[in-house]
Amino acid sequence: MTFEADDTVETFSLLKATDDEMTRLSRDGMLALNLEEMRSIRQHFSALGRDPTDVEMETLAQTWSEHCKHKVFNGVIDYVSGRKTERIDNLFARTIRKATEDIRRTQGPNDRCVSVFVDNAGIIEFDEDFHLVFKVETHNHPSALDPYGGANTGIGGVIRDPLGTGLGGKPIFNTDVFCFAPPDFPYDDLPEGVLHPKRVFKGVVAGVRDYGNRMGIPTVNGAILFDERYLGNPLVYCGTAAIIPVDRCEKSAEPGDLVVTIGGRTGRDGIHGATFSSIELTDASESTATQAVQIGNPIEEKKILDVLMQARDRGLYRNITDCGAGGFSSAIGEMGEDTGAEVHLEKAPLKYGGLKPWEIFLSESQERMILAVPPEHIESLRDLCASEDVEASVIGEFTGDRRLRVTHKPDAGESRITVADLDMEFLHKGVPRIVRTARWEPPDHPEPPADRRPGPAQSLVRLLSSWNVASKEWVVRQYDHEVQGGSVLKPLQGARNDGPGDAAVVRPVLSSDRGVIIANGINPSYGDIDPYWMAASAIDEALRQITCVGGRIDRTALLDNFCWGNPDKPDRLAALVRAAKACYDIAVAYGTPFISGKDSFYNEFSDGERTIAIPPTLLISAICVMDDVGKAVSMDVKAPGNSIYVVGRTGDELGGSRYYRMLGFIGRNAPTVDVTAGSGTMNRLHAAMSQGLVAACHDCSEGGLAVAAAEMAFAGGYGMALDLDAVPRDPEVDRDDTVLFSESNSRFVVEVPGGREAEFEAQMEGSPFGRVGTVSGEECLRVRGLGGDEIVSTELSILKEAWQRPLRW
Amino acid sequence: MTAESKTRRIAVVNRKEVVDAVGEGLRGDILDLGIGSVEGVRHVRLYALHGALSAAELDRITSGLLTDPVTQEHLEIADAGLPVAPGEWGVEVWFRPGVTDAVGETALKGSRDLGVAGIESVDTGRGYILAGPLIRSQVDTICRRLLANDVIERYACYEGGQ
Repeated sequence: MTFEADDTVETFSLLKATDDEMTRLSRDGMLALNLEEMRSIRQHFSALGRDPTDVEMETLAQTWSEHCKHKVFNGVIDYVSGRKTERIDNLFARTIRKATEDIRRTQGPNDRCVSVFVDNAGIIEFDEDFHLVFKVETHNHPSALDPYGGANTGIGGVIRDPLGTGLGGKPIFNTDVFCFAPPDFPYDDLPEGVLHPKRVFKGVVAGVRDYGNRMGIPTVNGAILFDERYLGNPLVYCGTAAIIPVDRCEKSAEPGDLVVTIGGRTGRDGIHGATFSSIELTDASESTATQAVQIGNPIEEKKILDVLMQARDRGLYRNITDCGAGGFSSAIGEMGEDTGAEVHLEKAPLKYGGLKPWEIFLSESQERMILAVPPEHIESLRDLCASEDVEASVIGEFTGDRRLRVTHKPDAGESRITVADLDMEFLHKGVPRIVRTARWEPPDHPEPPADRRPGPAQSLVRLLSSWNVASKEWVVRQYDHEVQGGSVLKPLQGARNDGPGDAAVVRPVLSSDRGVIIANGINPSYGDIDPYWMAASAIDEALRQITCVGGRIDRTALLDNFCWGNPDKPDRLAALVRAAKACYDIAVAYGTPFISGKDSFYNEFSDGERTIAIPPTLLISAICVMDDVGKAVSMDVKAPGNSIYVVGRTGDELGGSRYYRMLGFIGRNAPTVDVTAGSGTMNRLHAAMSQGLVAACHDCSEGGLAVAAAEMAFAGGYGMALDLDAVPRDPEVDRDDTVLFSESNSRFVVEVPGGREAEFEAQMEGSPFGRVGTVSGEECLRVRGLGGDEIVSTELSILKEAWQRPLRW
Repeated sequence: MTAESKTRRIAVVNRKEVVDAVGEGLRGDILDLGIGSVEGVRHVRLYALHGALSAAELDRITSGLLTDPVTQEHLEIADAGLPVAPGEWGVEVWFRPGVTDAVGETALKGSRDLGVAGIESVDTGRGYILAGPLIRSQVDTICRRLLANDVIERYACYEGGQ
């Protein structure tokens, strides 16, 4: 069935427009172009002596959007801190990318990066036959409007990223991290136009579940965080890893290759997605943004995947990318950047009639991929697509003139008109760089008074029941984490498969013991004190989790995903600068390169009276290649009589901790990172694991040592008897609650088999460690305080129930 | 004989002995809204089949594709025709025009794969039957806050026995 387009092409009267008129044109057209950008466009077209068409304006707006060009990260920032001003020319190049460059140079022959920051996803080495592809995206704004569809297309979109990397990777697992307002948020306090967080939560989980499960890709890892400031802007991070044959990582379109779209048809859905995500939400967004909502179809995407894997191995195409934000305009514009391309819009298959040319070119209809196909292979590709019930259409060709030309045949007639003719150089390099000021003013949050803290046992139970710490089993159980058969260490672990694993281990090639570890670090709470230490802690947390299950930090790569408020505001931008600086410092010191990443700004909600910005939120995803999955270690205690060690130093670092939040405070001392000590600890622990000296290992993160120990105990079904005085700590740490709940980085709780303590201690020489107790036969957690008294004596069933109850929906 | 092209509405519900997990979950969410008078929620899958279908073809689609005969049963209903008893409320939620209906597209393909050539398109929707002494404003609140997303869906609610 074919449908007719609406042939209307309008011209923007730009050449004679005043500044006010240009501002209005941008706002009314939802172009999200600022005045300086409008002036650049006017100047460009003045030289050409004509006004731009709507297709050209829309294409420029999409390509120049924050979403696509990362203008903040690539711009010029004057960073003011105290009396000092530092000019940062391209924050991304000087922090994230520089970290990777410096690490690769230092590693020399041991560099394991294959492709970083250039393709749709990062690629690192896996084994002789395959490389590993990994990408994490965000889909925040669409998920705020339609949680199910937004999350659905979030996961669908990120699956297409590895699929559009190199010549196409085969997805092996998904990871999903969400940030919501607390599910018990009062209905009566809900601003107009905002969906209740519980509804957002349920819709997002269902959306991710339905797409991942139906695609046959296991969801093995994730995290869910809660803070009231996510009320108007929930965050939905979706990630996908894939394997790709080592000889299928290079791609380039050649002049004469055909532009082929395969998969779904083009409709009006998702128009203006990229520019929409570069604008703050208001209570009117719900209806004005109707078209920005996309609905996913996982069955369609599964068919595309099946076709592409065959076409890739038969060498039927030379280049591939997915249609994401900006649709055809971005995909073809980027693919043809070095050659040029001509697109014939009337050949694009439509879902229904009445689409204008610019709508066809900009539509973000889901489940579409663009291929560059040599003409001699087109018939083979068509036959292959037909055999899998996938629609394939030639919609143009790659040229050699470095122009993006879009043509159309009105009224289904013979005459062809040009509706856009853009210079690739101007399209991709013409956007003016922004100059912004960032101003850092350290906050001062009071500490909670000592006499207003509940007892340790009561605090532990309350912490286990807090939204952030509580079991996420209700969510995990909806995801298929077994499909494809390669999951070794799964999200839920322990005697009853209900303990919280630190990281997942997947064996993507079933004939090999080599595995992939996936972990994530995220803790926006520390950012209220200092975003520098928030970012540093996120990296440390991700690497701790990798270490916990048996991974090595020198085989680990990182992804960064920044979700921020409005970076035009100096305080938000200063937070970004500080977090990015920490990314450089900590990643270089640990030797873990960034291979890909993404940013999402303008996560602020305004209902006319107040503006709520999300807390600066950095997700660090870590991926590690493990030689032998048989050496993986889970977090549940294994046997009575084994010894329990705490490894790593505990400091007075309760600032931003779950414990202080529970008391209604933020505090002053956010956890810092000592990389020299941290990497020493992680490397020694890895060596101990390789020798079979570790029965269980769990990292100390939210809720500190007490929560980590409790989780290990009730996951394994055995109690523990611990003595806080044996915990290695700073001299000034003299309170039980500090030892129990401080969230100092680079710390682990380790179970060592009875009789092998001396070997373990010899192996850990050089790192702070203490033998703090034993696994007991009774189902009770006992803790002796610094003063020698028993301060916790709680049945495991009480602890576990407290932890499971909140999200048992 | 060629059948006339028209719209047939099919409701698919769980058999009485099968737990209605979606309905039970929604009942909890409605209680969370502070509407304590809701006594039960039943979830209904709705399909609108457009095309020229013979009785045998309709049965082939409904029994062979849309219904799991072990756990579900189906009935043909009129517009705004959910089987709502007096004192109950019926709610129907359908996509707004132009919103992608992936399940509908798949049902269309499935119908054609079953050899039903006369089918033209399939729309899918969701129905809910709410039991308990509720007033219209409460039902509207339930619809807006839980059942329908105004951005992509429209809803209609009606009282049984009217």
